[in-house]
Amino acid sequence: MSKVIDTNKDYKYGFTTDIESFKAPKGLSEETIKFISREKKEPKWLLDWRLKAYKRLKSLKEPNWQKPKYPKIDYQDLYYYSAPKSTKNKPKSLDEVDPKLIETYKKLGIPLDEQKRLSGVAVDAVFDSVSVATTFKGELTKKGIIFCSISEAIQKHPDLVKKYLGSVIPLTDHYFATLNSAVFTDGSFVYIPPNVKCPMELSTYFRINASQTGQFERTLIIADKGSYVSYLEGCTAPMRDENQLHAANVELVALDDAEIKYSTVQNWYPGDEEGKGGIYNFVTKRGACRGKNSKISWTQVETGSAITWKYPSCILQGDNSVGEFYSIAITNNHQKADTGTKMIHLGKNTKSKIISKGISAGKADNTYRGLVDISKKAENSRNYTQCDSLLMGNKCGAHTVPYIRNKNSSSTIEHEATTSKINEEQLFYCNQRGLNQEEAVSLIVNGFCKEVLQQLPMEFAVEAQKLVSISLEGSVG
Amino acid sequence: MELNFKIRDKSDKSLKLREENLSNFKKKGFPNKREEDWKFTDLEKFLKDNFDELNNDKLNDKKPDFHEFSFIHNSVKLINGKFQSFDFKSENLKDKNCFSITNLDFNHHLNFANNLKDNPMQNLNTALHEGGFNLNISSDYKFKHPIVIYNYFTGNLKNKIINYSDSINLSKNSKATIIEYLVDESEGNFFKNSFKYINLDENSHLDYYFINKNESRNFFYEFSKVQLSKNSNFKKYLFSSGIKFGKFESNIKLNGTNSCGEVYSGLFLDNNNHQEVKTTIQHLKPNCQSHQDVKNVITSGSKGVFQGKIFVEEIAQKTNAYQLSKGLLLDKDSEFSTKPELEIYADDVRCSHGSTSGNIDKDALFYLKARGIDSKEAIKMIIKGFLETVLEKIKNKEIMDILLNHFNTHIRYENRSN
Repeated sequence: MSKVIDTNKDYKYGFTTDIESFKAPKGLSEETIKFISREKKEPKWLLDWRLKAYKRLKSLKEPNWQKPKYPKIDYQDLYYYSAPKSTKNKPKSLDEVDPKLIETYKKLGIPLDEQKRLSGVAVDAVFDSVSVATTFKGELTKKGIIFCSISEAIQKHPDLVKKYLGSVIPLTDHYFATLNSAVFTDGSFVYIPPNVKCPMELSTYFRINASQTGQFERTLIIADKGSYVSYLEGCTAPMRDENQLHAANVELVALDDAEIKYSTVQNWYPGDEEGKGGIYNFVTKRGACRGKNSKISWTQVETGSAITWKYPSCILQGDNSVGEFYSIAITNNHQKADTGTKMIHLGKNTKSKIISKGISAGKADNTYRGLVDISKKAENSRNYTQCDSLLMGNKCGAHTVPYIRNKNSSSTIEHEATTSKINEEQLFYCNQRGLNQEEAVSLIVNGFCKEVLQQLPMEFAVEAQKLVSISLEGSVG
Repeated sequence: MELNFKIRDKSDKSLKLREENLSNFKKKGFPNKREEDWKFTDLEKFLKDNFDELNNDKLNDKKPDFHEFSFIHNSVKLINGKFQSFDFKSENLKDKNCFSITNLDFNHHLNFANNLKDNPMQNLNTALHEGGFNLNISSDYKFKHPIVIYNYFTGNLKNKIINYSDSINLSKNSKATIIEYLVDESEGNFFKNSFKYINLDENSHLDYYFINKNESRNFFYEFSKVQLSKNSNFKKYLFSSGIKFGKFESNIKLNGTNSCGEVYSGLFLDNNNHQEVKTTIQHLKPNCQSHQDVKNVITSGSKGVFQGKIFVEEIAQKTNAYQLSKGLLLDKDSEFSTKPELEIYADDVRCSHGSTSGNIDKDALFYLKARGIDSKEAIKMIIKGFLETVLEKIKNKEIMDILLNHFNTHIRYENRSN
């Protein structure tokens, strides 16, 4: 079968909005960090924290063990802060938000208006690096839930931020995480008080807009004892020729009996057919199941970006805690994905489950890389891992690199992985029943991904399913 | 740890090469856990913890009493890696040209060693290389009886490093079964660093067994490079239980269509042993097959490691590759680490791997106990059953007996107090 899957042709989110941007001077330096901190009116402890990270960063080297190699990034040639100017006088309500922004969101299909209430989604929209509008605050505030931009949280809830920021991804982590700690500009902050079930799905849409802006989001979600939250993150980006770096940090903390569900649909600009342009998505996502019986579940659908390089991980500290990872990664043309998870079992009776589906087409490379580590004290722990890869065409690659360590004899680990192409018999069966090749492939691939898709919340599942199909448009058997 | 490595071979041709290799090795040193290939086996640390000194001074070989198997076989004898003698009478050969076996000289070693230049262990092996055997099987000759290689380590080998390499070549349509039987009767700790080069021409067939006889407190590293041509078939069986430290690497290149490479290993790791089985199977031509089955039973502070990689080249369509690794952990201090890796560039393939680790299945234990078998006996039965699945494909009765005997020697669960 010769298949050419064309994701870009229908990259309907490829546009830029003309909004005057307010930028920090180019380059990475102490001055830039101080500038960001000053612009955001941050307290001194945070500036010190950033500077500490910067100091550490200078001693670190960029990692090079990953499979997708990328051209050297000139960190002195990037803008580290860019805010849409119109937010300098903060809007009090949606009406005051720049109409162009609203339009952008409309094109993206983000319901920033009344529709949203109906669909039950509260959106903390991040346009470039500054939160512009936050909705449904009233309803959430009633329950004591804090859902705001992290800059706002730093001003209004410094104790919470101080306590948890960097507690999962410390300053001393790897290069890109530390870079983020030094220069992060904005992101979301969620705090769910004890025994509160968040009544709606919380959601943030990111857009990378201003050219040459590295995006350094920082998200912090804390689920206090007995609480529950489901968080959605969706990404689209405008067409660009230049590679854009995105090094976000996402930290999750689940205390006793708490549960966090974190879902991502990522559809950033993947570059053109020749592999020119596209986003570098180097994200550090990590969750800590600190409390007993806590649970963190990652679900991701990765279809965009030139290079995706991320490993949403769970540190299972609390006894009986549970970590889950569901992933679909679709790569096409020259896209490269190196993604997977780390499940670090520290507490007793901890459980983890990994389901990863990789689809590779064109000249793309798709790697699952993961770690399951059961420590000596993690008695009766359990892990189940399944990674399946689907190859379309013989110019692409699919790789599986799991690291599995079991240091506890009462614990069990099971791992399986398969790689194959679309079954000819299944295709034939579908063709015979009147489906054309494209519909058949789409049906089979959606079936292949089903275990992951069904983990997504309703609204997202529909979008994700569409994305999977769009990615397959133009593929001929 | 002091390294006293001297190049004794001063002949014009080799001295320069040996010196080059030694300096290359010295630049990198023994690999440690920071290197991806040695992530789970920190050789540098193991050697530092166990040796004050390593040297390659001349060995005082003590001729051992060779205890030969009673079944009909051909034999090759090695002492401390060096080729001593052979006896192929049982084949009743009329044509003497069916095979040749000689000492492997340095020039011959270089034919193979050159393409592994960046490997510090290979550098060390080349720099200090001494002997090994060179077996060549002529075309169309099929061995009637197995060849047993009695690989003895004797005499005082304290602080010694032993470097040698062997070469086995099977010409067209030939066939052989080789059993490498390791007997360690030496005194003092030593470290063995050896390389093996195996080539299979079209339609040839080789079954290679590595079986360890007794307990050994020594350190063994072996790298096997296997090259397969069209329609050839290579099976490797690894039974190295009882060795304190072992790392056995196999790099199998399926370089002809319809070739097939298989690796089987069943290990019982006891007494703080550390063993690693590492495989790289490269599917380079269409229609090739590979199969791997590695089982480890781990107890008393031992560590088992498996790193297995299946690589499929773009043109290697219709590949069928399977890999299974299982660890059975019997007590708290044991550890099993695996890295089963797939790197695939062809789409019309079937590649899969599975890896599990855990304790003895409680249901299985209950089943046996309910039938009146006491706990220790039941556990032993489960362990044996677990390991013996890798023997399923062996048809030769004599080899089966040796292996069952090997398992009986090394699986000693009933002696435990707990």
